[in-house]
Amino acid sequence: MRLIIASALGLLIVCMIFFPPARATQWVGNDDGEFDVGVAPSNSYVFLQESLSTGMSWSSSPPNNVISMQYNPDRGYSWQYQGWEEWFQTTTFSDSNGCISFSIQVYSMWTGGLDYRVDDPATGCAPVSGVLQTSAVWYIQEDMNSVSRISDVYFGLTAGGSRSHTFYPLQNWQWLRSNLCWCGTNGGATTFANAGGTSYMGSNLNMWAVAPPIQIATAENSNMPYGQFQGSGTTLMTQSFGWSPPTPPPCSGGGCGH
Amino acid sequence: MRREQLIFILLLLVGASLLILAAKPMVPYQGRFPANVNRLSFGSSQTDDTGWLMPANTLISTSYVANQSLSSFIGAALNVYPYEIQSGTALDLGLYVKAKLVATQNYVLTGIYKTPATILRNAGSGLAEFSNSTVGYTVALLHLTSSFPAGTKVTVTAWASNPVWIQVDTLPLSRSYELTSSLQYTPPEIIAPEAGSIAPYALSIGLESS
Repeated sequence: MRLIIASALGLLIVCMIFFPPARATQWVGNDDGEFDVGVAPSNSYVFLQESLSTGMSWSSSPPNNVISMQYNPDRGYSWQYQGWEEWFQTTTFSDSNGCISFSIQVYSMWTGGLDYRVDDPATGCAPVSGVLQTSAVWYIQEDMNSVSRISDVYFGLTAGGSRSHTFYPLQNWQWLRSNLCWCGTNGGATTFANAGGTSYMGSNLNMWAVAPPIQIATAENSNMPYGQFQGSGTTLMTQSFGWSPPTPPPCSGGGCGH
Repeated sequence: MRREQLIFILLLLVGASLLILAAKPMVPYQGRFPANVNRLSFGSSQTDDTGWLMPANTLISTSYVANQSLSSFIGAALNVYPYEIQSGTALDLGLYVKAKLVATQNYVLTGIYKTPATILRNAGSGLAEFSNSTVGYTVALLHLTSSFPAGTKVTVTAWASNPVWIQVDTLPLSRSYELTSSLQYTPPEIIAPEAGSIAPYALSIGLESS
């Protein structure tokens, strides 16, 4: 009996060490699980496309009332595999008027300091009409060169207006398993009042839903809920985000029909 | 080995270890990393989509003075409109701090872009207004070991083997200068920022640091 108990406990400990914890609860804010392409991706791309099926608004987003769509690499993998132990983040920012900016920010995982950033526009933001409305599409694609380093990052916004920008940063950083964060900015947490749509994660390589990060890297958070990944093992995965649009009120008092 | 020699070697090892520990933290940062909207930018603040067809084989320099001290990195970005770019065009950027060359970056433009720009209006005098699609080519100096004080002049040079449409600053705080005409890109090690003739327009150069 003792042998069985000891064996079971040993197995449990081994499982806890080698298998990351699964989450039974729905993913929220800065944790929507992660996607991976399984290999060091060379001459390839991995994109995130956010298609809004309902308008996006928020009741608060301290400290500056700006929200972000973040494309974040895994913290542990960045520590292990990224040269200089750096964390390479790409982000689209928007204020409540749809004034947007695109950004790449690289942080030292030794000191927490900013090692590099580049923004478009370099200062302030640029208005793009309709980016917070139904049917708007937010897009970030990271392209990799022959040695798996990120060669360029394409940002796109398509709505009533449009704006796109491609950064060619130094080719210092490699693509690593990543996740999406509909979040705040400057370390803050956004409380979304209304939002909904579908995330598409696509590549020329097969993509996989993988266990969520053990340790979150981004300082921001939100109340944005995410659904389960669909299409794992294919070149296009999907995941819902936000809330379904409110159902219209039931017909009453002869207000419906003719 | 004599006892004194052993003690000397031990002291040397302890001293060296202390120096290494002081130079680099051995424990990684445990906090999280912010997506900051605020940035230390001291270059052009252009957001209009106005482009100028930069001539081929001409080294053009644009300088800005930092309004704060510069630490950790100095990065520059030059925005190109992806419009009728000839495949194989070389675009070379140089970064100078206090007139001294500190970084170069060489690109070969493919002429193939996800969202090509379109000309919305010919603005005359060699200018055109473009749709909201730009490509930012960068040059940067990373991992600075010491900072530069406020007032440091930073210069960016650009050279292309074929004409390319570059975003210009229509409300410039600084001018651009045409330095040399050369069929090959040869960045000088030392630059005289205001040498040469004044270019018709100031290139829009984004400059950032921390």
